[in-house]
Amino acid sequence: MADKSATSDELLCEGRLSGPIVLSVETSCDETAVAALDGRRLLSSCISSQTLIHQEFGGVVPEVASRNHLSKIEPLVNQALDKANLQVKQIGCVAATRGPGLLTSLLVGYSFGKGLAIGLGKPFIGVNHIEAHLLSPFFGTEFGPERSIGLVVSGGHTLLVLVDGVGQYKVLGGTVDDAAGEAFDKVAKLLGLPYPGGPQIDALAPRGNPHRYDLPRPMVGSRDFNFSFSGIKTAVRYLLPKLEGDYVADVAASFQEAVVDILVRKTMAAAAELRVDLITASGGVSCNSRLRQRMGEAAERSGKRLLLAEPALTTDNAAMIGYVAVQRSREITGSDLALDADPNLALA
Amino acid sequence: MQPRECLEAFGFRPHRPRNLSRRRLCEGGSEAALHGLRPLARQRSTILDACSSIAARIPGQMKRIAANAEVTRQVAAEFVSDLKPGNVVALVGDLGAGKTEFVKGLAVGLDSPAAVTSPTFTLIHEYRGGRLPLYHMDFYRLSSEDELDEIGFDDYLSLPGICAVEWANRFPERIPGTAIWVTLSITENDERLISW
Repeated sequence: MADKSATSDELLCEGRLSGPIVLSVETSCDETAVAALDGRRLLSSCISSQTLIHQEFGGVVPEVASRNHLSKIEPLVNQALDKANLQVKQIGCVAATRGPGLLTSLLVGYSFGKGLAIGLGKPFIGVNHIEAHLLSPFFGTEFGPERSIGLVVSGGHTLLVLVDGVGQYKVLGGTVDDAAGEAFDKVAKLLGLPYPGGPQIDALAPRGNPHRYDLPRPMVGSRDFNFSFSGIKTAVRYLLPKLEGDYVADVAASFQEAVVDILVRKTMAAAAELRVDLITASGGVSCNSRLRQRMGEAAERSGKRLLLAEPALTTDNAAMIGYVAVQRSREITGSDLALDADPNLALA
Repeated sequence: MQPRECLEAFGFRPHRPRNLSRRRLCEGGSEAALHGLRPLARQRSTILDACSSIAARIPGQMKRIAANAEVTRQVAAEFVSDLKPGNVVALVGDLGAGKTEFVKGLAVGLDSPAAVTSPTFTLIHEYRGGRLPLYHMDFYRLSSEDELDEIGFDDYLSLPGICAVEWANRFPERIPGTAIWVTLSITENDERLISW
């Protein structure tokens, strides 16, 4: 996967502010993230694992602190404001992830966001984390979210969604066991590769033969839009003891091909069946270079348009939370202050 | 009468269930009668039920072979029928052993319509809509005990639902003593040996 911090800055825009400033906070699982947007453009985007690690801890953050959002959120808010050259009083709206996610993590960002909004006397918007991933490919486009088939694929989620505009979603299918990104990490572990394994497999696969080992494609022929990746992981587990010599790159390539095959075929099948011309992909796994390549080829063959999330927006970040808030603030007035964080928040 | 009282009335120590021969059950019957219990003839089925129920809570006493994932789910669905609110199921087994499949079966047994998926990345999934809420957790990605506090692990233990913990053996000291340990292992024939 690409270096997130490098590409993050490319999304930033220079120039005059347009529209109210949205400050957004994301703490649904591992990452603490804060971003500032001006209604159309990203002014700053800070993620704990990328910035605080180097600046405040002087090295790698101990894993112990990975979900210690409380200690990281305030410095990150200050950092996001500083990078955007903004004062707190310039914030026009506060947004935070409401769910789904880990309750103890969600509560930190969501409560912080509410408190900030109350203190400033500004509106507060609670955002669905999956919706934020789903709409992230539209970030930076001239047009807003429109009718499309969205593949959301990460370590924790694998979903196919029919989008009919902001707030208009129909979940077509999802994983019945492991998420695709989880399968990448667990197979990487079986192969003895370091964590996180997704980028490792992505980097190794081009040196291997993707057709060397015939791994299963579970549920690829099922007539629904559900996915299953647990079986591929188990197949790799059974395969490895039988192998000798230099097999790691070939297994990585064969495994990646199987997962990408399933993701591409199901997504294209959904677009064909529902006659949707636009396909999007988002979430951490959408950064996988083979998936991006195969999606591009498949879209071109079938004459569909393809929008892939910017690499900087694929892993958990607050810019995508702010983007949803901007989209929704056009339709709704008022505040979500009365709502609680919801670890099981549904998309539709 | 509670199963434990029943066994104690017969002088059996719960951690030595191998001694539960029929003969000793009969000997104990008269002793039970002395304690004002109903005659053995009417009690036998209750006693045997109680014994198997207690044995079920002693690690490694119950064994099932599952030829495929569907059987793993069936075993779990039967297993959960004995569980009460607050019970903790500690799951142990290699990658691909079927821990998540087992939890799918727990949800089925609880009549929950929830779609159970792996919580490895998301850490905790809550499934409602069944006879009892099911809290599905995964320690796979956690590297220190402090992280259990950050995810609110102990709070879930005190809720009136069933907690199922994958990779519980990563932090065994944090699993309550009353938890039922379920081990899934892959046999030479690619079957799953499920024991608890």
